[in-house]
Amino acid sequence: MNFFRKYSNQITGYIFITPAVLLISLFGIFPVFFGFYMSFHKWKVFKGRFLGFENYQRILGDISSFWIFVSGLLLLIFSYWIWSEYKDKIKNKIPLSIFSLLILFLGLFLINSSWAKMVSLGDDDFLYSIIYTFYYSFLTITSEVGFGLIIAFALYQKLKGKQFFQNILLLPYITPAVMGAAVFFIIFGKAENSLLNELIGLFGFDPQLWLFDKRPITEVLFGIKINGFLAGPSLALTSAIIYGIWSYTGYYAIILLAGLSIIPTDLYEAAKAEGASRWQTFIKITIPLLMPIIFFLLLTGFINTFQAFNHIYVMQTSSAGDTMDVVTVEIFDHFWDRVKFGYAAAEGVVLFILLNVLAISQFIFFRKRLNYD
Amino acid sequence: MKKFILFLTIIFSYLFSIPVFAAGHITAEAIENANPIGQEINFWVQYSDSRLEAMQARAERFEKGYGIKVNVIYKGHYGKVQSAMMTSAGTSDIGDVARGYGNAAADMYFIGASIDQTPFANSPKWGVTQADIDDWGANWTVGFSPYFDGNPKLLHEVGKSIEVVYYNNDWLNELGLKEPETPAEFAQAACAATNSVYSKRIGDTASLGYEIDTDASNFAAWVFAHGGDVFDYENGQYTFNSSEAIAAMEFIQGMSSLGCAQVTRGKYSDQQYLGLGSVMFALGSTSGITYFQKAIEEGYNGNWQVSKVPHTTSNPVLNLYGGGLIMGDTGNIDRMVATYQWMKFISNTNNSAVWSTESGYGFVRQSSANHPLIVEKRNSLPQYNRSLGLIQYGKGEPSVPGYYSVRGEVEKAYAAIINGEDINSTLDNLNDEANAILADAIAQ
Repeated sequence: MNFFRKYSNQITGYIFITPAVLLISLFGIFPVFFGFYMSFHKWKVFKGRFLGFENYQRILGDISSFWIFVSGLLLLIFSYWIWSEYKDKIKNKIPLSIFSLLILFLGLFLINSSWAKMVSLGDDDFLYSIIYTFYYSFLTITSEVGFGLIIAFALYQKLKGKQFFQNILLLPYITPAVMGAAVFFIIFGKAENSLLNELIGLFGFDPQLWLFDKRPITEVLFGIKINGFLAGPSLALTSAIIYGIWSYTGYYAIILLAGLSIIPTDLYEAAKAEGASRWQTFIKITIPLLMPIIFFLLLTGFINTFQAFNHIYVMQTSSAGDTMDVVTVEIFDHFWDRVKFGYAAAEGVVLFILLNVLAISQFIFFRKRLNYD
Repeated sequence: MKKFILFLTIIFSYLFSIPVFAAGHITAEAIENANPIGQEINFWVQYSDSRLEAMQARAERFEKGYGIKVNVIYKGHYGKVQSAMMTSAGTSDIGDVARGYGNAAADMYFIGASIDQTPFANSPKWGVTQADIDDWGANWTVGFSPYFDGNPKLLHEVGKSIEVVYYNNDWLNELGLKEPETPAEFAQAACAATNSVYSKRIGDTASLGYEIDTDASNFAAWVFAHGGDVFDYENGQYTFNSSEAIAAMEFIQGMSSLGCAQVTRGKYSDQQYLGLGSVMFALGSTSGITYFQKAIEEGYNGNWQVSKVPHTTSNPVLNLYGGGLIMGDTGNIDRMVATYQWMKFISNTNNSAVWSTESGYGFVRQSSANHPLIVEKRNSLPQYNRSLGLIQYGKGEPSVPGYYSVRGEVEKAYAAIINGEDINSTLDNLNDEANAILADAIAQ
């Protein structure tokens, strides 16, 4: 009895958190561990023999190359960290700059060499899907946050019908992805009389194949043929990116607008009294004070877009080849169509590791801008 | 914290150790003693709309006569039916019976999702008679899979369809051309159509000779028509880069480069534009005959026809689909026997004939040929009559594990070739990929 009396507060606390712990363990933590477990087995609906790292070997070609690749990414982050951490603490910045640059180049070298090895030995469909995912994620998120910021800033001004515009902005976000994507599939049709081709025709442009065109965007826009990463996404994937931007920009704008509304107005008044221009106010006050929200949107946005699936799946065409096969589509294909559960789980684990590196990098990049107290 | 980790370890260990559902043992004795009356079974299908309604009506009649309830459930296209069956394998939630092709049945059988139907067919009490088997003829034997030891019967045929050319007969007459017999004549007609405007065209969409659905069956149809095959059963390997496949793709790419053929603009748009009179040719299964009929009647509303795929071989070789019924392993022998009664019911002489007229599929019982409904349909829809006559030239696509995944790769390669990619290297890559998928699918 003494025991219960002595620890009654703690026991009560544990009782209260037990349902949450059970639910999170079962539906949050367990699937992650189970995914790891599956990835080490041949698993075609039923658990097969233990494979060890064989699935990873087939995906990555050479597992050590993958870790070198991850190390390269971490070195890029480290080079930035070391520069940003010490640039204001030491007088002579040249050695620091040289050191940071050396680390940066070493990171790039490791990424480049390990990637080439992985592509030559591993599952190039999956590895290229990481690049397509990066295109999708980077272009979507930067555009969404950028446009969202502009819209939020516009709505922050004294406008008539502000509430109406806010409601309109949320419409794409609440539209079911599959339905929206099906409509975009028609808009981005390759027929000469598709909606978008009719529209660009009004401005004198030739009809495009849109979702049916696997040429890189640089070739479509500028007619230059670039090989490799710098070629950019295909026109087909760009069309899906446009859908992504359409779908989420309004939502981001609403979040950023909420952020704008909590910035103290006396800061703007003081800046105005000091003669700051509107642009200076925006850059020196608005952006820094919005940074915690922008960081949150970038972090969650990157994670979400790395997991984007529904609309891309709906908008796929055979003419686009593999260029719309982002990581989630690849995983779905192996899990659902090829019934390779273990292999798909291993792909999921690779994605999980990369997302963690991404989250770390974002934290390092933004850590000093998150708090202005 | 240590206690928490210990707690999680116990929970996870327990969950990892849960055994998967173990199927009941299917023996002749268990089958004989089974009681199918009062059972409720699920039939997973790929068709919707009127076909689904027709099948549901049939299920109601079956329930009244046999006391077995059948839920006919639309699960999406064939691939989705297969995936649903495979991912629910080992559970009682699996479909009792599903529509699918031989390759899907092989995939399912490989992981224990589907079962050998032989013990049910052989049951004196619940099985089929020799007279029935004779009536099915080749449509019975095709359901066996020599790919596996013991030659299991994995598929119960219920319909036949073939890949044919649908075309605008009026437009062809306007151009002064006859029905193409060879690929060269087909290309000539396609280009003539592209460079003309059909007098009864609806709308102002530009004319096109041939709109290509880049589906793997379409690819196989052209390879067959050029005297080749996409799979070599003797070597157990795909042959997507054979000389016949290359010739077929050169023919297709040749038309495309002249602007006389192009990849389909969207799902069923070949059907839609053919109906509107702006596309001359489309390839499709005879099971879609009613959809083409509807599109044309609602469109230019003139004469149309189905024909064999133009060929370079002495006799036509057409891609034959032998979709059938695949039994899932629910582990409940009463349900399985009930399922088999349903399978027998929907493929009896009368229902085979009725289903053929409802769906456009060919019937699988010889005795259905003289059924009044078949006779009437033959007379009222000459295209249907002609399609039934073409079934004799049928040749099937591979019934091997993993073919569904291979189809996705074929689709991409086919589209790439039509859009101008190098034929030889594209087909070589496709062949390598397809054989890798096959090896992966059968690896233990």
